[in-house]
Amino acid sequence: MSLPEQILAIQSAALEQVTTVGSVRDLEDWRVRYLGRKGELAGAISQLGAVSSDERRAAGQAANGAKAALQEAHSAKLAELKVSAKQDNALDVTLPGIAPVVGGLHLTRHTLYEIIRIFTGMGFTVFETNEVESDEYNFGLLNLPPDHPARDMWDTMYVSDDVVLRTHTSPGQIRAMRQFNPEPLRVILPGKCHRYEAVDASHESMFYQVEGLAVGEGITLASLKGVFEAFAQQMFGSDRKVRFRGSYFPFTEPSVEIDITCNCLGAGCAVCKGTGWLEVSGGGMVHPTVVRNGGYDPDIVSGFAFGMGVERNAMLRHGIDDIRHFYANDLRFLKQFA
Amino acid sequence: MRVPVSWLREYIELDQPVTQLAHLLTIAGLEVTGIEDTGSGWDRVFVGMVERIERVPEADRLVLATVNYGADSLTVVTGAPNIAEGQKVALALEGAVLVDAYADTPRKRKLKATKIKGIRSEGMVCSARELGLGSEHEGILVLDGEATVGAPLAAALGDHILTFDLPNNLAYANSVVGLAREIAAITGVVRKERSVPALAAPGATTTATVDGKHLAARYLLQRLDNLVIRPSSPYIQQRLQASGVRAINNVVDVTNYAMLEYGQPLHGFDRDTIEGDVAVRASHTGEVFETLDHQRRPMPPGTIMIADATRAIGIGGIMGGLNSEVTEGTTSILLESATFDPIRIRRSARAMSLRTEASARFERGMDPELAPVALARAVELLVQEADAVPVGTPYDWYPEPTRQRAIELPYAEVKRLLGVEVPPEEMEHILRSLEFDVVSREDRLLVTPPSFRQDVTLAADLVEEIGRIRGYDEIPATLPSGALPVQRSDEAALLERRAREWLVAAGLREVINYDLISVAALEPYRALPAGEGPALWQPVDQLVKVRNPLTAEREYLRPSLLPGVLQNLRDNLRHQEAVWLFELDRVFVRQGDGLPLEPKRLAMALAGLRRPSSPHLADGETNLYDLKGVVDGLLAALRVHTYALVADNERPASLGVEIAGRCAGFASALHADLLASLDIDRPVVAAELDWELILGAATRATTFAAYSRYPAVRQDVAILTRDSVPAAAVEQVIARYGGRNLRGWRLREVYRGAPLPEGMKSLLYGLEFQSDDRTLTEAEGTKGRRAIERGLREQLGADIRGSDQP
Ligand SMILES: [Zn+2]
Repeated sequence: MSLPEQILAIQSAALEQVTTVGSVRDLEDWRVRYLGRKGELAGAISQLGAVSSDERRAAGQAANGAKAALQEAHSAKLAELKVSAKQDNALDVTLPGIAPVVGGLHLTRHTLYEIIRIFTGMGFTVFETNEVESDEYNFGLLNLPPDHPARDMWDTMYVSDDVVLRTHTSPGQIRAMRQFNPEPLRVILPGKCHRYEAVDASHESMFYQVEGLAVGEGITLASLKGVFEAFAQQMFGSDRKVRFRGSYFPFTEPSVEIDITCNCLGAGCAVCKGTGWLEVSGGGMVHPTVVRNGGYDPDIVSGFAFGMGVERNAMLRHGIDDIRHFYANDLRFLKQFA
Repeated sequence: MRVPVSWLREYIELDQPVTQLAHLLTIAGLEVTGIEDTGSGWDRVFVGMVERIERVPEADRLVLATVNYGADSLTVVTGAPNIAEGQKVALALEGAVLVDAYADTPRKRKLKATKIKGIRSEGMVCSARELGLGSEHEGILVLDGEATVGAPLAAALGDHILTFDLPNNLAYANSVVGLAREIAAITGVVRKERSVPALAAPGATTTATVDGKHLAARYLLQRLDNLVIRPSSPYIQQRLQASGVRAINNVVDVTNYAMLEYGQPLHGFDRDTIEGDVAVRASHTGEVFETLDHQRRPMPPGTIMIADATRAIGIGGIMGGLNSEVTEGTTSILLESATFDPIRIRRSARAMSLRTEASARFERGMDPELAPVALARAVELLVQEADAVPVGTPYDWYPEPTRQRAIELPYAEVKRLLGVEVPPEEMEHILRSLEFDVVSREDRLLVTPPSFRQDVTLAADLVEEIGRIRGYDEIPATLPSGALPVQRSDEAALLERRAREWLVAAGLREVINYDLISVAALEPYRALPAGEGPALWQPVDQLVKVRNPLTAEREYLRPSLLPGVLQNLRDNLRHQEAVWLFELDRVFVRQGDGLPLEPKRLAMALAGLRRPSSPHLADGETNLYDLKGVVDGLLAALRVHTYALVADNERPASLGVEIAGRCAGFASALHADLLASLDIDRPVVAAELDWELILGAATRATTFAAYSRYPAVRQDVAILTRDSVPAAAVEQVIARYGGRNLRGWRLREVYRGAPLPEGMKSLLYGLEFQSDDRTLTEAEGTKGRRAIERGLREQLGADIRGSDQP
């Protein structure tokens, strides 16, 4: 057999064999065998120098043709292998796309990050403190000495007589003030809190709270209203208004409940029980005793503080009617939000 | 607290609609959580008068009553035992809608005329329950004698009942009179004072001894004789009922009535059970006492006891004793009105788990000045209700009358705290309307709160009074002024967020679990080998325990995250084809009796399909390489330069994660035994990592490195080697022999099986050669590849397929 004939034989053998190739791996073996650096085609080409010039020209042409044909066969086969075996050549564009794999943040985290984004935009710094707290920080330094009747406002889980699971993020107020005094301060304190509380649709024994604290000269209840209004409008919509109502917390004086206009914008609906307002937070001016416990002089420096539940924010935004969904971690719940 | 508006009207004029009143109170801090309109359903119910009662033949318990209702009279058959001629009653005519008193669940029904024992009954005389006024159904509701016959019942008895949720500090407003005071300040209407006659009856004054003011700031006792115990008048019963208090008898009802009206708890002792003088003392060690509710209770140390010459007769401020209870036969009582020490009451009530209406009020602090006023009111009512005859003036122990301290309120303080200018005259006016004594001085007010406002001690308290009575609507919304604080960046929080967002992008879903778990939930992890890294299991004495857990399921602070995440994984696998979860949060490490450490960890658990199933792709079950890829990618993304994922020689299918030479955790295919004990029937891969180590090793910014602009030469090398040679060993050789132009490599295929001999595998690597300053030739690539091939033969005894093979 002349060299050109050998080359044609290699070509036809290769083209015949490629039809039986059923996997990408087999195709690679096929490629190495015929088209590889030490493959059959390369072997034949290596003999070019040993033949007459006429035969060499013919063999050269045959080799080029064979190489092109085999490469084309290779890419065609590769493409074919990559299309599902079930499919014919016609592409059914109504088949579903290939869904990318997507994860998601927990709804609480997502909401918390949104809250943090808004407050950091107003110059607040995130400050995290411990979840297991001393009785002194959780209560005592917040103007709630032992035997204070208002301690009943927090059903508490105790680790020992002096150690509790924090019932609110407020102990972080003292920790932040003690760390940064006498500088002016704007912090938000996010984190888990715990209550000894029977669980139902609107009460959880564990929840996330975000506390805001601003301390410095010239901080007033009007500043709290301004900051909270800016928050509410970014969080719930630019048409929201903020209302203060009188209230009582031992660590603020004056104390207020903070309401925002409901999703119904005041018309009254089931969510707001017809009042047009939603209670989202409680706060006020930091009590002089607490300011002093933080290391500032309450006659010169004033501060506001507020606290709110992250889950409640999420429930209002997304129309969730049962807080127990949050920490069941059921993906049928979590996937709806992220 | 439930308060009928009709009762409030006795103490203050109310012009505004009830909803408006509720709104005003709510804004001022007295939150009204409900308004009940009691007369709203009483169509076709009228005030009737019982004219005549006749027996129904052959029915002992039924009577035929003729009831006049102004327009007409009609006859009704009733079994009510308390019906009597001359009574005013609630008469329902045909068509009235009433509560079905015999239904198990609340339900209404429309009244129809019926025949009972052959006698036509044209209407009904109603019980309190049938009118929706409480649970009473023993007999019919008897109306006050003043009610106008023929008037709609709603006009005689209809009322609005406000439900309050009062904050702790507003104890002073927790009564009809207290609320009237607040309403007066809010609306500017002057409240009506009731003049209660001073107590000064003839006869000997009762005497008593009080062990000291550490027990009670004030103690009053009044003797009342000649009592007749019977049900109290309808108006008292109805008010108590509307306020949510059950009517019992005239003496008990009057003490409750006076308490609701003035806020002062009162207690009556049957005087005939008492020997000698009453003494107020602290409990003895080991003292046991039987309270009104027939419970024999050990008395906590320091409990305030009321005693006579021989024995204890009551627990002061908490509950009376069974031995001195007012009963049907009582004819003489000692009526007590006292100001007990709030802290003692609180401690004892908590220690006994016995919280009563009285103890709740005493805990919050009572006004000693109120004690005689409420006592006088109760005596006045007992004279009316029980024909009582007071004997002598009350015994009144009051060693140190309270003196209210004056508080300075600089005008500027109001603006400094509220951020709004309030004219001094307005400040003065508001404080006066709250019955504070106000003296103005130059730039400030000198304010003395009344005795019932012991909650007010600071200038800030006065600012609150001004703020809430004015209404906070007046306060503008302004952004904080003054020096802008330094905004500090929190590296740790930023990095945590980056990690979470990277994991989400990698397809994982975040879970957040309770910090509290049970020992049982940790138990499956006990058998795991304890490596150097973060432990999943801790012996119970190393855990932080909550003393009063809600349930045994949530009793200990978690020492690791994976137990929670794996529970989530198991639950979700029931309905999800792919479950890839992570949690990044705190665990708790006990430090003796002090505060525990709260380091953070990162846990991941992956199971199910790698990708959502699709007709275009073969389904692939998640395996260890998915997890390894996530861990590897995350640590690289956080620019932890010092990490390594190393084979764990102790455990198959397990990787140790090392950071800066320290063990930071593991990434493993979980053992079948563990999965079985967790009730999971699919393969699971999971990791738990020490986040603090990652945080310490992560670098914030990376430095830009110029990349080569010249094309790369790519060559493949197929390696045939023993199965036992790990890929890592092959790659070490590639790195060592590849020369300076070797830019990288990628393992493209691993193959075992025919036609390869048993115990052998083939690895296909793609090599990439590149130079920073010129285009490499194919020959230079080949040279690099050959050097690698030589190294593989020499170092690992590997064959290179395509060149070594025949
Ligand atoms: Zn609404």
